Amino acid sequence: MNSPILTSVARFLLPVFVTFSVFLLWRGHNAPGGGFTGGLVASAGFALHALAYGPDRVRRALRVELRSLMGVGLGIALLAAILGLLGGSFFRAIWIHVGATHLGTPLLFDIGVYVIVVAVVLTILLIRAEDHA
Amino acid sequence: MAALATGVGALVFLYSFGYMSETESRGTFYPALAAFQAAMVGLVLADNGTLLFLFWELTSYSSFLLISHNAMSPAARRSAKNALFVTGLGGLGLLIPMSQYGPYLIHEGGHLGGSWIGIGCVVLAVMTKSAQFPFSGWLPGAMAAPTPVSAYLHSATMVQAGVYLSARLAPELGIVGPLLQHLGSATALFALFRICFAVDLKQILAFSTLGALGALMAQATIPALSGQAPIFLLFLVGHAFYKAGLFFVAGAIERSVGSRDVRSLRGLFWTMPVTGIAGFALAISALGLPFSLGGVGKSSLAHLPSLEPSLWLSAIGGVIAAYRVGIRPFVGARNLDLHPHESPAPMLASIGILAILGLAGGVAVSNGGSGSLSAGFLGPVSIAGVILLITARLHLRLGNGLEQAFRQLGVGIANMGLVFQWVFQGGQLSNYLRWVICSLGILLIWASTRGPALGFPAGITVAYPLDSLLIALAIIAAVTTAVLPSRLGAVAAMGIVGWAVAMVYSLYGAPDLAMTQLAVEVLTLILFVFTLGKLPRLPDRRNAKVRSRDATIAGLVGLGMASMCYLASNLSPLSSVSREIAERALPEAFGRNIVNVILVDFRALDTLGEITVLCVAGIGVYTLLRRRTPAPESSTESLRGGEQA
Repeated sequence: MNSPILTSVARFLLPVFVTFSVFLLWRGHNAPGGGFTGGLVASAGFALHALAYGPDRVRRALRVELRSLMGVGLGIALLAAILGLLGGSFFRAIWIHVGATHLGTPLLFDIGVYVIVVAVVLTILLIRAEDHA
Repeated sequence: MAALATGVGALVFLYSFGYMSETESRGTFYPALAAFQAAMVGLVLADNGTLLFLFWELTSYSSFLLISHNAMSPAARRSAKNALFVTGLGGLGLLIPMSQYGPYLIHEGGHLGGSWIGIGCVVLAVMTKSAQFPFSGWLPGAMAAPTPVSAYLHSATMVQAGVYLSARLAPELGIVGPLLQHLGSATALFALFRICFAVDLKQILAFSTLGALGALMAQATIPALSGQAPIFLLFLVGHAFYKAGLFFVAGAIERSVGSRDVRSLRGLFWTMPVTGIAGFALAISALGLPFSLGGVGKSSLAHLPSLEPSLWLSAIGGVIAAYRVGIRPFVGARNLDLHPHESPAPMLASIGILAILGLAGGVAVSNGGSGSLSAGFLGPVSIAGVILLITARLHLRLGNGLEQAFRQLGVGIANMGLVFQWVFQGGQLSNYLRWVICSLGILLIWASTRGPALGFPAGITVAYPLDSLLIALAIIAAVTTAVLPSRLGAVAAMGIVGWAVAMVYSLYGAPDLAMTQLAVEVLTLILFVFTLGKLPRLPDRRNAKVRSRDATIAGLVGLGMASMCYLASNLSPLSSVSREIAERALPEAFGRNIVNVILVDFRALDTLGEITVLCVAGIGVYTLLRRRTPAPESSTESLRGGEQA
């Protein structure tokens, strides 16, 4: 789109969106947020960018193919599940406690969910955007 | 059985490296093969009736993909369709006992309980899968598959599934048991005829497998023998080894010479020595000679108390087949029209391994076995020799009629599908939506009438004004969506409904849900902006008939949903599970956000399924909507490959 407001705002807002989405992902376990919501917010940021600059710029900014991203996300989620085998059974949660924070396989799983949501939503959106352009 | 499926499967993969390197579109072959292997392993390991049915149908489906791998050939496509129809329909028979008795565990027994329909349907499933008479028509056609596929499907796995299941269920088959035995014998007889008269290497092998299956079926369904599983297994293992090996040999011959016609294959030993030796070794096992695994298997089967004549029939057939495939192509004077070369290494490796296993296994097992090993060998071989001499000069065409009948059946089913398509799938998306939504509405209403009868609420009290305001807003926006003539306006109005719902969520203490809902609304709006410009003009919405029909359908679904919601909110108090989850979230999962804890920890398996579905949806959208310039690795290369072949 040719609106200068949109282009300048989108350029500034994209990192804000992505940062916020990572923040949502991180705090998801103790406060509203989580992988799904974080992924959607990140996709919204990229979608805004696509509205302003066109889908090609977004694909280049992502640098990896979206389909590979989907596979990577699934792989991370499965890794979290299989790591649980170390702790006894499939999908058992394994936790490491660093001071007051708790890191564990559920967080890894959430990251996988995040990546997949971003990949799938952007796949659909960018294809439609390319058709539209 | 599972070890057999995976072990032979590994060899099949190895063999495929050599076989398939000259053909194209390998990308679809290996995943389909792996899927079939997984389905087969699941089938033999499954104890639950539901899982059994699932894997049963999965083997049918993946074998469909494998048989039709050479998609350019109409014969391959037709055979694959036939196979799918027959085995898939039969597999539905496994669904009946499940629906009557609920999920059941096979090892518990007693589930078919003398119910004619239940037994009959299972029998149907078994007979179609194992290509018993009269359902044998799909088996010869399935030889259109690439040879490694035929080797796997017909020697070690798929068709054995039916025999396997009937063996497991043998005690419960009751009256139908003898019927299966007779049909098994009939199959063996039928197979014997076809073995004598077939000219294609793979067809010969296919029919010999059929004969063995018929004999097995006849034996396995004798209830008195249900404790003899190890003997059956021994036979199966030996059979799988030599059958798969012979298939591999057939494929090797085909790859090097270009023909599978037995009539022209002679004297290949001089140029394909290793293959020839392996072929001899495999034939030894197939003939049932002493000290080979096949021989041990056959003779141990022959020593069972109740000896079926079908065993003799299949043994004779096996001998003839082994000779025609494993020995004859290699001996005799060289046919100078052929230009054979030795097989590539991967193929040789798999053939060799199977041949060696056949001989070594026999030696290993028979060291502790009985001494009268030769009894099972001399009889069939002598009779087979006589038959061979008789049939050597006869070229009759028997048994083709059955295949014709199956071809017609396949065409008939395809035509029926066309009729369905014409009625239900006119090509307009709005029609599809109407069918789906209408069915949904009917289903919802029917479901809510099945619940307990709750009276209407005594009165409506407005306890929370903010909620009511939001809901009223949502209702107005929904009506506006339906009424507005402009698409963009309707989308905006729908967005307002979504926003109002999100507000209600946040009012009721579900901020996660509200955030997700809002994000989805925003993204949907953006998606619509991208899409709306490209849509064709709306069909004539001013037509009263169309509008009233749509309104009825919409009203139906609305009524259904409303009654379901009403029932749901009045029927379930806070269940004990939620309370327990709330209590355990912090101490065990270190999380205060219970929703997130459920999603990624307590019920992570469900979430895994959800994100997999998301990926599938994404890939689907990508495949359907991508630009028309084909990717380099798909269609153009296969066309090029087709020209070279």
